[in-house]
Amino acid sequence: MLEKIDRVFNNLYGTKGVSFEVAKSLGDFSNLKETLEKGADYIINEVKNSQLKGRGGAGFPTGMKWSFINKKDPRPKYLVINGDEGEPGTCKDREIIRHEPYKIVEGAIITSYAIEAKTCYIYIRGEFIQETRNLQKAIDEAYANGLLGKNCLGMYDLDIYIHFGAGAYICGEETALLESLEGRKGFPRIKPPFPAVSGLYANPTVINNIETIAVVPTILRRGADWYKSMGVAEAAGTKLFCISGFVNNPCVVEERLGISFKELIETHCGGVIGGWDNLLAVIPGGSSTPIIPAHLCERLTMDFEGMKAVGSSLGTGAVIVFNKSVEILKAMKNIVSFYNHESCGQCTPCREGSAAAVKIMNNIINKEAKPSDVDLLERIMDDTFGTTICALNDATVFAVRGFLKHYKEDIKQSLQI
Amino acid sequence: MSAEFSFSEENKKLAQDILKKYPESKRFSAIMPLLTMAQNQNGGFLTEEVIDHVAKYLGVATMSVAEVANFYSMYNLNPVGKYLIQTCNSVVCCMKGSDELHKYAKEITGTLNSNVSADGLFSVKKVECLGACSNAIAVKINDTFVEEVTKESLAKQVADLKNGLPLEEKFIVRKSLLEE
Repeated sequence: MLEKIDRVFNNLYGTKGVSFEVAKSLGDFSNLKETLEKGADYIINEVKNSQLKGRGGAGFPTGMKWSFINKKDPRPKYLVINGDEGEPGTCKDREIIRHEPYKIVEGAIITSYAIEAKTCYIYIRGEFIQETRNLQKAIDEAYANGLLGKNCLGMYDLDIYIHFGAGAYICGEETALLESLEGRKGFPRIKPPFPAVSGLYANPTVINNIETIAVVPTILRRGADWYKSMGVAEAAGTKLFCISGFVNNPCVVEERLGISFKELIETHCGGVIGGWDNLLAVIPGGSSTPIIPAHLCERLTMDFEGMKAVGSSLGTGAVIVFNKSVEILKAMKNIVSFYNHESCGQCTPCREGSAAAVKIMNNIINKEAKPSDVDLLERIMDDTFGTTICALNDATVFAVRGFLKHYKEDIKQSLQI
Repeated sequence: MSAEFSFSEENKKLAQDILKKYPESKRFSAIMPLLTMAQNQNGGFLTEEVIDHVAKYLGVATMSVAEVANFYSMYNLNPVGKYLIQTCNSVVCCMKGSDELHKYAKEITGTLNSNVSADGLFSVKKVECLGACSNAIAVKINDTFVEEVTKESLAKQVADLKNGLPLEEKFIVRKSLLEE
C-alpha cells in the first residue's frame, strides 16, 4: 500500500482547499526555479530515469517522447495536454483538473521548458466545463505570480490556453485531438509523420495525458530514484486508479503500481458488493481492455506484466468491477455499441465492422442469432484488426476478443434451443 | 428560416478573447469555442443562421463550420428545452440501470414522444460516457453534473426545476476509505 508521504497527489479530493497558497503549502512550485536551472537535458533524463510511462492508456515512455523533439528545428514547438478523458470507466483526470490543477500548471511549465515550447494547449472534454473552472483559476494565478507570460523567472516565455472539446471520444486519440484543436472534425491522421515532427499546425508537438504531466513536478522534486522505488519493474511509480461499478465505495485513488487487485478494492473501496465470492469479473483499465473473470482475479496485480499474464492490460487504470448481478451480454453489447457510436467513420473496417458487431450482439441478446454468428463476430474482429488509421477499432477488437475468450461457449450455448 | 443571428455585445468581446488564444493565421481553431458560445446564446442549439454567422465572423466557408457542428455530439442541431437532461449510457452507468433511468426521465418530463416537453422546459437525451464513473449513475443537466442519480433523486430534481428553483452545482467527491 502507498504511504501517505509517498503520494504524488496529496490533495486529490480537494479536502485542503484548492488555491495557489494551499498548493504552495503542499510543496507545489517549491523547487521550480532550481529544476529549470538544471536544464532541459537534465529534466528529460530524470524523467527517462524515473521510467514514467504515459498515463493516458498507451503507456509510451514519457522522457523518450520528449526527446523526439528536435531542438535545432527553427519552427515553434507546442505542448498539448490531453484531458479528453472519455474511455468508459475513466474518471481520474477529472479529479486532477478540479482538485490538483496546480500540478498540471507546474508540469506544463517544466515540460514546455524541456521541449522549448512557448505555447501549451490543454484540451479538455467539453462536458467538464465546471470542473475546469479551478484549472482556469490556477492558470490565472500562475500568470499573476509571474509563472506564466513573458520572461518568467528570467528564464522562459509560456502561455497556457484551455481548449474545450464538444463531445467526441475519438478526440482522445492524439492526432484526432490535434485536428479538433485546429478546428476540424476529429479524424485521426495517418502516421508518420508523428506529432514530434509534424503536430499542431504542422509544428513539432508533444502530447501528454493530464495525469502524466501532473506527476512530472513531483518526480523532479523528489527524484527519479524515489519514484522508481515505488511500483514494480516495468511499471514504476504510482498511478491513479478509478474504481467503479459494483464495489461498496467506488472512488479514485492513488496507489503503487503492482498492488494486488484484491487489496486495491478491499482497502479503498470496501470490497465487492456482496463480498469477494460475489465477484463476476473485472475490466481493469477502461472498456477497451479485455475482461478478466473472477477466477483469474485472486492473484491479479495492477501492473503491465500482471495484466499481460491474464491477457489484459492496464489501460487508463479504470477498474470496472462487475459482481454477479451484472449480465455479461448486456455489458458486452453496451461496449460494442459505444465503439460503434464513437467511430469517427473515416475508416471502413471500423465504421462497418463495429456496426455489424452491434447487429450481431442485438441478435444474440434477442436470441435471434445462430451459434455460428458468434464465430462470425469473431471473424469480423480478426479481419478488421490492424487495418485502420487509429487504434479505436483495435480497442473494439480487444474488448470483444476478451469477452469471447472467456464467455464464447456460454454465449453459444444460450443460443441453442 | 429562423430569425437572424448575430453575437451579443458581450459575446463579441468574448469572441475577441477566444481568437487571441490561437495564432493569427489559425482562425479555424476558434470554430469550436465560437460554436459553443453561439449555441449558449441561441438557447442551447444551432441553426443554419448561427452556423453561417460563425463562418462569416471567422471568414471561413460555411461548410467548414457546418461539418464541425455536425461531428460533435454537444452541438444540438434541433431545438432543446431550457434544461437538457443527458443521461450517461456507458457501461458502468448502464449496468447500474441508466436505461431505465433514461426512460423514467422521459416519462416525468413529458418527452416520451417529443424532443422538447410541451412547457418548453425539458429535453432528455442519452449520451456516451460522461467520465464520472465512480459516481454512477451520472447525469448532466445543461453544464451541471448530477451524480449517483436514482429515480427518486431525479424526480425531485425535475420537480425543483419545474418549480423554478435554480440548478445547483454539487459534486459528490468519493474518497478512499482510508481517507479520514
